[in-house]
Amino acid sequence: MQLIVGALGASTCLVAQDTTKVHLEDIEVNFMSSYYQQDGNHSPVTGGRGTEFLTNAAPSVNIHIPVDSVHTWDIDGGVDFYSSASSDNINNPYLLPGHVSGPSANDERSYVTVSYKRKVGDVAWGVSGGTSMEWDVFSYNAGGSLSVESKDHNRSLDLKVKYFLDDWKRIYPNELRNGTQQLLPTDKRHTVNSSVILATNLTPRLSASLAMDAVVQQGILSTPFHRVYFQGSDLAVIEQLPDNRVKVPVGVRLNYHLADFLIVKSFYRYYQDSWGMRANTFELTLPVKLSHAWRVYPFARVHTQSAVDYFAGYQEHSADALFYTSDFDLSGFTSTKVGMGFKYSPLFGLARFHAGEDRVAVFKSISARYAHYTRSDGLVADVVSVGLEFRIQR
Amino acid sequence: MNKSRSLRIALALVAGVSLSGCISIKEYQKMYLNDPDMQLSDDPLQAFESGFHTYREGASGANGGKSGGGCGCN
Repeated sequence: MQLIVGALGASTCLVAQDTTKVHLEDIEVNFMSSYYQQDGNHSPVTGGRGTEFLTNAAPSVNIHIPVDSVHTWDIDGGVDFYSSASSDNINNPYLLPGHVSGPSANDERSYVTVSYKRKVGDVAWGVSGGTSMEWDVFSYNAGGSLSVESKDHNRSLDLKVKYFLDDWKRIYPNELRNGTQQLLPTDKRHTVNSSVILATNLTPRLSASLAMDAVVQQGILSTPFHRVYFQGSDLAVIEQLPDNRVKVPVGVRLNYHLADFLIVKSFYRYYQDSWGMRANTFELTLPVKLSHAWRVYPFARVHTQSAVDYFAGYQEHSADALFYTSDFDLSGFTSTKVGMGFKYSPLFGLARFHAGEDRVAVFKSISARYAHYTRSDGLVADVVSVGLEFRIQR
Repeated sequence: MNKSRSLRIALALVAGVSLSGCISIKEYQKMYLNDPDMQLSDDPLQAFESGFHTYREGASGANGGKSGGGCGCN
């Protein structure tokens, strides 16, 4: 009898130990890489005409580490490897006599951001810091966020603030360098980006969000190696733009689960800024579930924007203008983007690996996207992206 | 006129989202809402891909993406 009681007691103790074992969420590791290529004939480096050919290969990694049920760390990092024919023309302006075509300029931009989040009950707050480096710009950023969720988890309010400090090297076009001349009054750019996002479930199949941003920029907002040519002149001058800009975009998302195999995701944004630009953007994605493992994502996007007050093309600016740019990214145009993505995510993953003591790494999913982008000023771009998702079970 | 119309639209959207507080969807009714593709943000690959819009278009923001920092502008 004592033996039976003892055995029951021991088994109860074992059960108690099992139920008190803390289950830690998986560590997520996402590898992403994209290849982007564009071509056009309105480079701002050569005053609004000339090649805009550019390629960019961009591998990146995101590591999401839940320390426990309260604390979470995120690490994002990557490198952009790009070659740019227009950058090549900073020192080698093809518009000048004696131009010799050379290989495109090559460079890298590397970046890393570390974020911390603490979530207790329905309230979460977080901080982040990061940096990016490229040949002419060092950038630092720091931010904070606060998120509050309703008790029934049907609504949430997110507040985010992020500050960027960009430190620019003044790289002027070759023919405009004289060693001491300060063609632009500052070499730092300050950006404060604040966001308010309201999200809600409206029906068992419909959810929506409203995002309002306010972006305030101050400092060097023109690019030192962008040329401008005035009416009737073949002599280049440096792009001049105001040293402050306020941007106010408002975005709305509506997601509707139309059928078991089909979701309709829509996004609309209205944008205006203090430089006179107005823009409207609409994007539609239709996730289609082909099976438990396969999903495809056809999508389309249309964007239209008006030019900023200071834009004019090659040799179209008046010589008495205070501010001037021939950067067609700031011109009035309509752009369209269409493409398709897929995701393959079997229930138990594509593969499993041993990842140290008591740990298993699961190759969870693979996804890819292709997009074709056209702009009404003639710029054409293609981008291919691939993502690999891994989970490390603990 | 444009500013007042924009303001009215923004206020209507805020009011619409706020009034949704009257709606309560139970946990057992959230089968479709909990679908990973129903997230009210770009998926990671989409967000990663669309970074180039920040450089090739003058307008940006209100989609959870990057709105400053670094050049990447060539």
